[in-house]
Amino acid sequence: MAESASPSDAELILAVLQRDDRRAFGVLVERHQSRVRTVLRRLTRGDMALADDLAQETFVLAWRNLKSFRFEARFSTWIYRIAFNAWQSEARKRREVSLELDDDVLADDGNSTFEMPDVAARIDLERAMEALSDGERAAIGACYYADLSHEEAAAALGMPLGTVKTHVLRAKAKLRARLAPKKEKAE
Amino acid sequence: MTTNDWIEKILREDAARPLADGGFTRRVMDTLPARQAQRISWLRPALMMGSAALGGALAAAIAGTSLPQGFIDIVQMRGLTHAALTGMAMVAAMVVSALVLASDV
Repeated sequence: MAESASPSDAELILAVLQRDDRRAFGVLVERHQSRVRTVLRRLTRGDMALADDLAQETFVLAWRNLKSFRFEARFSTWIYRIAFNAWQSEARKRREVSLELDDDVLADDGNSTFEMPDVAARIDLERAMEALSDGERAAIGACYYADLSHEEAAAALGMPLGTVKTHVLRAKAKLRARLAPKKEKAE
Repeated sequence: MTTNDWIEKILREDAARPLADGGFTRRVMDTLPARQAQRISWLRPALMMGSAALGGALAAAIAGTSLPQGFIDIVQMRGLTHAALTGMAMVAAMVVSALVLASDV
């Protein structure tokens, strides 16, 4: 699709709302599909087929409800909120999803000084993410993959701000505990 | 680099890694439902209210009463004349239609 000057998300949304411009919506999908699908892949513990189904559902819901989009928010924030809701609904269908805090706290001193090579890290990261609780994965997904602030993540996930922060801290501690030995082995 | 810096780095790198579209956008576009008829959103209320009004007018015509006379009777509080009853029935039908429309928003 030729784009002499790339229109903003807001301009594309207006084109959809005012002229029923499906092509403009297609540009929005193209622009955001990567991040939305990546977030959902992490949330679904790497189940790519389910993640893509949920991503598709997310964009269809966005299309249906675009008139309720408020332009003071970023489109990405709005679409991630829909994606999180889709994931939570699906997770509840399969089992009782819990976004509550767990008791298994891992200590995180936050002072270790090492770097991990990128090569094997990605696969290890995917496996380490699978070990996180639903709430921890959701918080990491919102804050790092969807790039939301803690406040935006709390609103998107429907959980208190303090819970989001705790989930993020615990998730990072768990990731460190799982990934650090692999890093040391690689050195 | 601290542990948190390192973990945040790989998380952000993982998140930023572009995912090839692989026909995803096409699949989404193919499944988009037809858009709600926003531009003719007035059509349904107009049809309902119009049909209620038309029904009332037809009923009045069949009954051989005059709707304008019915409304005049109502305004002048002339009691339950045929024309007034027809006028009230028509107003009632339109009120019910309006309530149905309002509850459907």
